[in-house]
Amino acid sequence: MRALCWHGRGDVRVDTVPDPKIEHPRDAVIKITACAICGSDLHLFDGYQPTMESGDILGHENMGEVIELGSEVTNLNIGDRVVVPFTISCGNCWFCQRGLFSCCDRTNPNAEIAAKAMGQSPAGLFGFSHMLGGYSGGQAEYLRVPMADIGPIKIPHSITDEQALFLSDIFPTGYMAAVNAQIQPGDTVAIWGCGPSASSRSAPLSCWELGASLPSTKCRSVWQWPKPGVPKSSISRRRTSMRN
Amino acid sequence: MRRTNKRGPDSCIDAVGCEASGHGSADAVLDKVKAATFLATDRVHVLRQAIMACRKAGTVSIPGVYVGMGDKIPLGAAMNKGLTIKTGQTHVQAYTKPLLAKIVAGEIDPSFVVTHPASLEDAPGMYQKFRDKEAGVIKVVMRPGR
Repeated sequence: MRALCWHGRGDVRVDTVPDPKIEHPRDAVIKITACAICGSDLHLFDGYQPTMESGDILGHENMGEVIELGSEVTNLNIGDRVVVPFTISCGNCWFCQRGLFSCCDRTNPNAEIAAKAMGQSPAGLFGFSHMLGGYSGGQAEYLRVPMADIGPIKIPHSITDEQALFLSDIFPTGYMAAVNAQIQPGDTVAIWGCGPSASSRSAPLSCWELGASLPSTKCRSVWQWPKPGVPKSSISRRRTSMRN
Repeated sequence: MRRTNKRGPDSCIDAVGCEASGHGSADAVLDKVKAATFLATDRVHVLRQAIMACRKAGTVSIPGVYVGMGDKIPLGAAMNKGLTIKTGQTHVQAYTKPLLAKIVAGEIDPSFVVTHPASLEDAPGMYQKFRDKEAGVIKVVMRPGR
């Protein structure tokens, strides 16, 4: 298959590489119908992330069609249209049981390396260095999805790939950023990174979404966020004085 | 500051992470030098600003990705102002179902971020354009298996 491979700082190329295959009963293989380049892929591109190796396939914002299933994946069928979270999580460990999926204790085969750098190892991630699992990413024609009975979510045909794809990372990431910001009614929120950094685009949207259930919350940022059914003039878009 | 009665924002979100440019400010230039000489890995200009700007007893949320070591993070300010700092890679599996429901219900359409549909073969050039902030590249979406 064709895949986008990392070869060094500022050097990514589309190479022909072996197709992925089922390696574990909880695996699936999907044909990638849509994938995106994330702002954090630029950290890899720019050589910031340690333990990258030449030939690593990038890409952690992925969706596609299930074409092969391991014997233990009973919740998916061949042909299902799925979005794949960038975090690989087992669903059973102490952290997963508490909903802390990016802290999964079992999905990083190189946990010892990560623990040396961080004290403990977080979950394995798609296409994000050997320290974080060494898993191939999905900027490719096909992707092996480990723990496929936990991560992938089926997408109804009523929405398009472009609408669903960002469930893999940036929409939940912006949403969790807003949740973590502990917004209270009436709060002012300042957001840095409302420029081209892609993961930030959904943070204002999500702050506002949280605000929608908290009527007096006001979120302001340099980014304009659209919302169906709301006249644009009713949303404040003035710049914060502390923007970057 | 004016909007918050000079208290500062209640919450500050650093959605930039380890490659903050800082537009030539002194601390950002120092960060670049340190990163280039392996004295630090992460450029923490935005995190510094967020901690300094945040109101006392406020919350700093960090979705921006950091990868290693940062230098001169104002921990004294964070401690003495009583800030809460929350961060982490996203617990994606905890959010996919409720957020999918919002998309299906038409409450949110995240596709607005897409600026550049491209082919997989175009990807190397798109990485470069995205990194160099050329041609308005914000979100590149590729469709390799279609």
